[in-house]
Amino acid sequence: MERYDRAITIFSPDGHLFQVEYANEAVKKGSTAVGVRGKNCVVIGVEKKTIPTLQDDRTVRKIHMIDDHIMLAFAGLSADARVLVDRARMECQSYKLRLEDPVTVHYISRYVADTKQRFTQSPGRRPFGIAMLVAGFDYDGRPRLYKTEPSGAYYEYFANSTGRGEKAVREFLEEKYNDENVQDEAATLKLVVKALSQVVPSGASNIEIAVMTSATGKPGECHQRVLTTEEVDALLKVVEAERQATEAEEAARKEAARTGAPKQQ
Amino acid sequence: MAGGAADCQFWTRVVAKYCTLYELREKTPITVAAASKYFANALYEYKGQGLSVGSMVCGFDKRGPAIFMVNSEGDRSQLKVCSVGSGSLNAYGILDNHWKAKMTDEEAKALGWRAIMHATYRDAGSGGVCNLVHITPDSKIRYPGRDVSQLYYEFAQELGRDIAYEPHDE
Repeated sequence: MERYDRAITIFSPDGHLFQVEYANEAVKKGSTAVGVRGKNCVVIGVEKKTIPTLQDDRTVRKIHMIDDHIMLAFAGLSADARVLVDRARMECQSYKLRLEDPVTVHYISRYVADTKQRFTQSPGRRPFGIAMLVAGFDYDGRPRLYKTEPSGAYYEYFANSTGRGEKAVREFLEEKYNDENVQDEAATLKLVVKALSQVVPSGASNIEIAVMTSATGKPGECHQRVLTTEEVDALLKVVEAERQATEAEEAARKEAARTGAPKQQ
Repeated sequence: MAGGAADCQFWTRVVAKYCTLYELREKTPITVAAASKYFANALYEYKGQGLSVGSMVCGFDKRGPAIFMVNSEGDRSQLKVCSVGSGSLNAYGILDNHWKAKMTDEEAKALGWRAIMHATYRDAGSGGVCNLVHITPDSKIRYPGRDVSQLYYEFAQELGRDIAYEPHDE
């Protein structure tokens, strides 16, 4: 098997591109990121890793703006991400110059995915060790979320996650994502916080959340903001309160069932 | 399009190829702005090398109706009223006289025929057959070609004029 991971241009006998799979392993080491598409907003939440004491907090950024109406988060090698983010930014402007229109989320996701794929089919190069969640609004005001993988595959999602806690968060979202939970910004934010809390130690300093909404009435105009620590704190408190409320309800129900059952026997 | 016939034929196909590819990739028709910009950028590469193209890129897209004039000098402008070619000045004379911001489809078509007719009447480099396409949000309706000398009679009638010279004994 070792023979087939030297150069990624080679397939293994059973059809694997080992370098691409190893790139996925690099992604799984990165801090968790989750993206959720709401009815009229998109929210991206990331796990904030603890930084060394000597590091200036402001230089650490995991959620990037690609254009006025598109943002992305990634999991994996941050140097690779920096390069790809810059390419995406350049492509957004180049597209605007050529087509006199802002990019669609689909277009830029496909561009990033195409770049990643090219590096899986070129000699002497290695794939990018990043998975990206690209979120934004199209000109017609529809929110969109895409995920691109190191292999160059990309798909549109209602919600997805990547990084260390990818599986747990995704399972949570698969269960809890429904139209009611994302009907407006507040509900979507709560869902994202709940999802991230599955894998991230609770605390506003460990979570960073960015939300993008489209201004009503004007196509193409978007507002993005990163929630302040106070706002995240408030959200966490609401989520915690709800959790305690449901737990208390559960306990009361179990108690009633326990006391009620013997009589029926 | 006006100018060199070969240039016009060639570049229509190049732009059409780009538009088709765009529509296949993006699953939505290309905007007039984008198609005309692609055309203008392509022509600019050959600026000064002798291409002769004067074109109008017209259509309906998500932003509404649009006309872009693109020429081999590198000019690209969005216009409400446009004419290209050797007879364009004559056509402009008619267009500037009769164009209104709000016109019905019928009025607009009649204006188009009228403008072409007058251009072919007075310009040696224009003539033959007048082709008209009516572009709506969902369709492009192509009218059969009308011989311009026949077209003359239609407008001559309303002016009370005839092509044959009639001497007056006065």
